[in-house]
Amino acid sequence: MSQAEQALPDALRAGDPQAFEDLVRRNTPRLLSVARRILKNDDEAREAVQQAFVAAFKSREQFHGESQPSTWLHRIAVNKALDLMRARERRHEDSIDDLLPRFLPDGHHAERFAVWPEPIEEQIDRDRQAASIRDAIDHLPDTFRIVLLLRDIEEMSTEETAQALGITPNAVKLRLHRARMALRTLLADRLRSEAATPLKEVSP
Amino acid sequence: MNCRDLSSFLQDYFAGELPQPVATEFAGHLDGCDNCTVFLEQYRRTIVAGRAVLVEDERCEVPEDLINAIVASLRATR
Repeated sequence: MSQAEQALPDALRAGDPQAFEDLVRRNTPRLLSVARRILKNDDEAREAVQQAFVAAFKSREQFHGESQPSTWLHRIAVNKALDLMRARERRHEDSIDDLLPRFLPDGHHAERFAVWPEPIEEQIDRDRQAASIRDAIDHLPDTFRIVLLLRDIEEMSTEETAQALGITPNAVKLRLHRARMALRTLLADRLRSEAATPLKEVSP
Repeated sequence: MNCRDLSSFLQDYFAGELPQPVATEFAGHLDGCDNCTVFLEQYRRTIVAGRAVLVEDERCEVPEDLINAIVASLRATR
């Protein structure tokens, strides 16, 4: 933690306008990314970030520096984004079952898995790769997508995730496992179609 | 342990939380099953893939208009 960050909690609690403006400037880009991933909508994401800073400002006296200011803001922004998502009209949710592995009656996999090509996480065309992964995540049903986002991408613990969603830690674990298996299926589909239609030459 | 059983333990496996008798059976099945070996590797890479999105997203532009709007609304809140 830098010296400026160590001094920050006191300045925040005191409502120092400059300290808060610095905090807004430093954290807005990251929090906007977080809210966009959850909400999949730019306007709603901006709304969530704005609400998060207002809520943080109002509760600044409760911030005692037991975590980093950035972590404190991250949790508030995640909660605001989840609130906005819940406030939306409840849409029909697709089933995840089609994306889970199928097994034969004797417990063997019903599918033979093709080995994936070069590590997708090290491919050269990172922009396209990230867009493809993001698109796959966005195709997960929300119930599972949000758990995967909070656990594997926002790196929140099982307990923190359970608390944010109002479900049990066991439910978090079950949904995370299904979400990962479903995302594996979606990535496999995308790798197959990319392999079939190479759009670019790979250069060293 | 069959393929279905093994798949249900993947999360615990990657969290380093496989209890001992299960860990031995898990390794035993994996030794003799190429399909589960491929599946396990893809499960691992699926977890890693999410992080790649995170790194990519964080390079996004600084939204000056949003920052100014937030600062203005905080001034009004005070």
